[in-house]
Amino acid sequence: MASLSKKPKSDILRLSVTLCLIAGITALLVAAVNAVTAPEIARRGELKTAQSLKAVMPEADSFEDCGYSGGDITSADGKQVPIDGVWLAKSGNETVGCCVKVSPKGYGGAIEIIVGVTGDGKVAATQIVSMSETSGIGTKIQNPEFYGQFVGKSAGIAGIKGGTPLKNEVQTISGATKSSSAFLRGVNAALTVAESINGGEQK
Amino acid sequence: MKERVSFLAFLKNGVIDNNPTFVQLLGMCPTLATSTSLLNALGMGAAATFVLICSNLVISLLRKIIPQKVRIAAYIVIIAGFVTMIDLLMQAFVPALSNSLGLFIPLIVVNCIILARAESYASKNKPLPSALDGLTMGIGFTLALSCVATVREILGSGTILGFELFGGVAPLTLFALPAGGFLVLGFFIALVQFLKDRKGGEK
Amino acid sequence: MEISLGAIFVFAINAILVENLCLVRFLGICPFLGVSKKTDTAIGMGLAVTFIMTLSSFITWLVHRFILVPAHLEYLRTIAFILVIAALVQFVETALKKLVPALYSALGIYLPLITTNCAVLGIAITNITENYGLLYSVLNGLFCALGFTLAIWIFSCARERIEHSDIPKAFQGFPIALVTAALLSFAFMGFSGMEF
Repeated sequence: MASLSKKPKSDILRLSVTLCLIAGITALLVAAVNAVTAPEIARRGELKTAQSLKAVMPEADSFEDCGYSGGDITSADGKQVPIDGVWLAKSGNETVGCCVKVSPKGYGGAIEIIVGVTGDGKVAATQIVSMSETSGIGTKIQNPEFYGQFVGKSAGIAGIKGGTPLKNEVQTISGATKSSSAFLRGVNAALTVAESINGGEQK
Repeated sequence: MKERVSFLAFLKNGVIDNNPTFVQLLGMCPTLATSTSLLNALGMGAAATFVLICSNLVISLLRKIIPQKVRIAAYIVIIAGFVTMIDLLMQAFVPALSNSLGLFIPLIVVNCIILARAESYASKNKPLPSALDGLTMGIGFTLALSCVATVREILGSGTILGFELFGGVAPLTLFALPAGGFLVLGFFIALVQFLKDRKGGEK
Repeated sequence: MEISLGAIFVFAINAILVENLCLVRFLGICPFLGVSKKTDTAIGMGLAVTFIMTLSSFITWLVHRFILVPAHLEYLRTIAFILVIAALVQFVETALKKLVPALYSALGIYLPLITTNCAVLGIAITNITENYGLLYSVLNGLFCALGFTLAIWIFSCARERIEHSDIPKAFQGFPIALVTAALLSFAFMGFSGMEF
């Protein structure tokens, strides 16, 4: 009798021990892979950021992280745009502008953009760090015809769907409204942040 | 000896007779979601093939140890382990591809092809044939995915592997959108059914 | 994210219509195509998914916030979440069987299929990558699942009618279902023009 009542218990024990062993070994192996890849992922991220910073502010020779902690920027249409980082662009000892990394939400998730802003608050250049927009549609925001429109514009850029853009307007991409307006939101948010940084710097 | 001879038979089984996507109708989500461009399709196919080979091999090695009652849970843990590894490796070494596949890399865990092969093949066969089965099924999946992706990329974006094909002629964006994915896959499966039918008729 | 009825309404419309789980985001296609031949089974599946997805969004968020993050084990997310979901499905199945037999007989047969439904895991992961708080994670699970239910219900109605139509032999079964899904997805694309 005793052995009969004992059997299911030991069975459950055996099941759970085997399962835990498998889970434990798997977790260990994954941890090992993570130990190899984590520094590489971090290194690539930093390298990519450094390259993008250089690309949007070619005249600067060093970038100083401001340690921005102002939180998200709310855009004109009420959406949150996260600010991932702000750098002062320096040429020698002179500050020539700043770079802001923003990640507005596009069609396929966050689009990470670095925006270079000149000392007088105008867009110097933009660079997409990463995105997962639909290939062939949302990815059109990588075309120079689109992002080129932003160069030289100052805070409060408006997007239009058709017609000829006025002084501070850009044309969104038809069929990729969501991706292109996300880009627009990102640039505007970056300009807002840059304004506060540049303003503070002059005083 | 027998195993060496049958590699071609395995390949024919995985790619043609029992193609996981077109014949077994498994793994529809990644087939639809990652077939917007050929590069994405190849990346997804390679990642899934890696997981298929590894999980089939390990599950086959452990087939006498894993208790019958909790086998599915054990399979899922093993598969999830390999998926996490390939996810981390891709993030570290091919970040651009990892970005555009996004969510669908971790979702390889629930790709029915992998669990189906574990349950119906690897749990009953020796390690070597199981790994071979994983490889050929993976190739079958990758080929099917690439067929859909080729059509969608050419029609939807007017490019192939990123190269411009029609010199500025506006592509049929519909094919890059979700609706186009369903449509192209539907026509491919109809074609497969048509060919199978005709073959059956000849006999 | 702000918590107000207006914001939640916009969030709901977005999750249900604009970014429909099956038709726009390609998640949960297996059950969408597999159990949509009849309207009742489609609704049963939809409700079962809604139940599990809301619960799993809640639990996976807690697991991530209070176990994985403090232990610096974020990279084990996929493994942890799929285990949580599998255990949850098993638990709900057992609990329903004992406590609410009526509901169990209605949803029971769909429950085991949900473990490998990529939408459940997909939403759990999205909740984390999008940095949703607890409330929005649960709401995201609920609304996305309602979107799934809506899509699978409309789809099953269309498929019931196709059953009696004369279609070319090569297209019978799966292919015509995919073409129908394409048309449905095309219709849902109209919502993507809605910008909030």
